[in-house]
Amino acid sequence: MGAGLDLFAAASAEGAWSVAEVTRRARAVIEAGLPLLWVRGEVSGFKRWQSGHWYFTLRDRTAQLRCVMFARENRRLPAPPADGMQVFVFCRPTMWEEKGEFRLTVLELLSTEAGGLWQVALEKAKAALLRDGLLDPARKRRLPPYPQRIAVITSPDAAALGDIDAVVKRRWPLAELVLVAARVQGEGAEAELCAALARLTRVPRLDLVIIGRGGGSKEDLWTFNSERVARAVAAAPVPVISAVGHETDFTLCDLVADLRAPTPSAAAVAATPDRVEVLEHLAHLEARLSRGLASRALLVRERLDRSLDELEGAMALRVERWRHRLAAASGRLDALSPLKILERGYAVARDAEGRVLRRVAQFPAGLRFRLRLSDGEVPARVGDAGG
Amino acid sequence: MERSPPAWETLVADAPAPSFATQLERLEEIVRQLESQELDLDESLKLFEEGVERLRTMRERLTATEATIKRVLRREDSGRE
Repeated sequence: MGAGLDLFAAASAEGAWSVAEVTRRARAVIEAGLPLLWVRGEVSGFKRWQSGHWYFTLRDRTAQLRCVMFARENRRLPAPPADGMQVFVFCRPTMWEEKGEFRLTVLELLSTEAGGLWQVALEKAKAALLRDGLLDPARKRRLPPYPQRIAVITSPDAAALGDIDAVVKRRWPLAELVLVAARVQGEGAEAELCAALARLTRVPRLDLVIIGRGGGSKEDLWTFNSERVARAVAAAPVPVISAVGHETDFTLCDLVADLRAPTPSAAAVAATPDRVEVLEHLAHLEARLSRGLASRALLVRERLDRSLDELEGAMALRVERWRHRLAAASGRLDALSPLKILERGYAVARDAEGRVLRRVAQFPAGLRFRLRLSDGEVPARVGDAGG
Repeated sequence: MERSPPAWETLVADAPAPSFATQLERLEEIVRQLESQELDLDESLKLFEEGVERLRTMRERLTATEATIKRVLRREDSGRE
């Protein structure tokens, strides 16, 4: 068999492959032979580049694979995986030609540990909020008891808004609702929620805000676990009720808010007093008002009656005293009456002019005068004296 | 970032000024004073009349509103509601 291996010919420019040809062929073979697949393994050597791309190795006891997850894919994830974490990756096996390296281009990454990446992100954000004192219960503000203007930050086309409106209408219709629309899930939701919270300062005489949404999957609710949203809630100018529709898990937004309600309806109940109860309170106050006035009036009348009695008593006493004085005076007057003296046999002599004649010298002979006796008068005349 | 205020400002110009909470506090204060019995009849009457008037307006506010007033705070970056 004639032609043996011609080492020189094989090494010639015509016979040898270029590096790029090998990697290109290898890449084609790999991509054609291996479909998109799920791979399970432990993360190690994780590195996040400035570009936002993630590089790490996936390993088990006997082998390892280089992996890359580009920024446009990993942006959807709440947090990067930690070294040592058990994960599933959905990936495209390929050849990285520039480095001649076999690797997996990761399209999706799930943690198999409890809570997974979500939990990691949550714990990280929570630690940051805790460090800044934003989870301190002493920070929580008291809700105003009779709110008149309530802002609602939610999606305008979701059920949450209608639920809140129905409850407020029934319980406390004098409150005004102000919708501050924001997307609550998906791309841009985080920024819109933060912007909505920031815009609250433009609402005059605002009493409180309800921020929330109806129930959804864990991923749907994730926006409310964003550290940015949590910080915006903490910075809100009025008390915040967080109402992210889920009964069991607390979001960061819930933890930072002044009150956490399990649903938007529950938030509306917490935000408002019940009109019926307030009307009852008013009726009670009305009764106390009337009683208060009645007892004031009664007190005044009693005092008036007492005064009248005292006045009457004083008058009676005075009249009695006058009567005594009058009696005494009239007795004395009676005793002094000249008629009384005349009754005892005396008479008074008076001349024609009525002057009382007291001395003998006033009785010249022949003088006519009158004698006043007790029962009348007699005319008289002085006779010739002794001769 | 700071733009001219949205149409909101004109929307709220007609909003009622006295807060319900303030009115209720005043009413409760009136009741307490009337019950303290340290007033003369004239003052008591005046307080009573004020209390009754406040009660009336507060009841009206609680019962008259048929529907919640809703407003929308517009986005700064779009002229639409």
